[in-house]
Amino acid sequence: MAKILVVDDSAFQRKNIISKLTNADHEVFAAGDGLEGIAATEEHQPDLIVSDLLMPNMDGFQMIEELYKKGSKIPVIVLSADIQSSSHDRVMELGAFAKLDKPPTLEALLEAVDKALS
Amino acid sequence: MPGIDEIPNNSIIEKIPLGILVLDSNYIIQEWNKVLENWTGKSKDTVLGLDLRVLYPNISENKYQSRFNALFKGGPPMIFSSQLHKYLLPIEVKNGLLARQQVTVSPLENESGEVLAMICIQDVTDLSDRINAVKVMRDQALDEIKIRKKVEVELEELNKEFQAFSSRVAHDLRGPFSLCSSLSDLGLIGDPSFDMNDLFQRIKKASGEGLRIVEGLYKLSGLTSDKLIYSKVDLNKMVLDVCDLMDLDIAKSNLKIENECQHTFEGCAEVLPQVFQNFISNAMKYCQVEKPMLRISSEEKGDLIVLHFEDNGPGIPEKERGEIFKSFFRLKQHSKLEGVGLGLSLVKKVLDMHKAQLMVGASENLGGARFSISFSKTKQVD
Repeated sequence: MAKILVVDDSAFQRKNIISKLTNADHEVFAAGDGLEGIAATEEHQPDLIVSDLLMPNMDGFQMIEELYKKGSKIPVIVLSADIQSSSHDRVMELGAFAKLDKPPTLEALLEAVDKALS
Repeated sequence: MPGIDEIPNNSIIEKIPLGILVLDSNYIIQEWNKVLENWTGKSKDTVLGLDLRVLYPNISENKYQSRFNALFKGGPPMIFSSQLHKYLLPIEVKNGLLARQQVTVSPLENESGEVLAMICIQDVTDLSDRINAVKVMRDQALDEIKIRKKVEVELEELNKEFQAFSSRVAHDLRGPFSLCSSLSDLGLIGDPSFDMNDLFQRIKKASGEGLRIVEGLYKLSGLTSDKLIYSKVDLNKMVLDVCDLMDLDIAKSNLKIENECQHTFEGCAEVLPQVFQNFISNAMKYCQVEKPMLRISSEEKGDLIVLHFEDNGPGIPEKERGEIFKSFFRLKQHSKLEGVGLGLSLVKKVLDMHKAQLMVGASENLGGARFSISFSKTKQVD
């Protein structure tokens, strides 16, 4: 069992991911944007972050940048419907562990999570 | 320099397929063989002792005379090539065409030491014709290569476009299908915090979205210019008909539509409503303001009828205006909204079939986007 933080501004998508991760026996926390994500990371020290990209206040790019600037070593899996290769490249350059198309299938999500935690 | 005695005897001169004549330094003809008789129709008896320049005045041209004079003064042999000079003696071969001649002129010496000119003329008309035919073939082959290269570039472009289109289709179909899959997973997990009815509603909506994409693709693939039937299109009536058809959706979206169309033109009434439906749908989708508004108007400009769609939505950033007609392109600012982005590609295809021009800009009146479509009043054929 791992501690996982889910960051997404869509309540339904958040609930969707949380339900699947909880069902896979993980302890899950949630945040609604990048700013909340940083605060929740500091508070819960998760083993893994699963985050959306396009969010109000602070988007996924900024959040990842901010976290790694602060020395975080927590792997981040990015979920996004943005298929532009430039976005994918930027996310990976920032140090994300993986980028999955949104919404991911259960199998794809759990496989990426397992890899990130191993 | 060979002497005139060394000229091959008559029997040889008459047998070789060359026109041979000998001139003295006054251009008086001393020798005229049978081949020349055949070519010119002038017998040896009638030309011997005549000035060649009288028979063929072109010999007086400086380009010939200066070189002959040089030869008579001990200059070297010379060649008048068929490529450069075409002929020395203008002899008609067929249909008024003059024989092409390869000419060599060599000096000879007579008994009294006078320098004579022996002129050997080879008829290369057939050879030249063959060379010209080969040149024509070569030019045709080069043209063909150019066309092929152009077609190759066009095919490459089309292929790139098709690949990009396929990629967008795959992505946009993946969206609703993966959403269905993701939502079904939630149902299978049996998380009691999810309302099953809500999940099914979402699955239905996502699958409907996928179906709309497929239907849009069908429409794109089925639309070809040769299938269009043209008739007089009354824009005002078409707007009213489309609004009637979309009545419920329009009411739900709160979109106010102002119809100021009043013109007619020759168009295909079967596919044009697609244009109106898409602009109305997009206005409903993207005009996320308190009082969304779409104004549809028309104006006459010379031979054109210009149809305008203006809204009070967020407008289209200038740098993205060229992109919006690529199939499935969706503006970044709208990437979280529902919709498949296929509509405008369909619109563009319908407009291309009508040879209509579309401009994208900003609406001065309403503050949002403005799409202006110029239709020709009469049917435009290829």
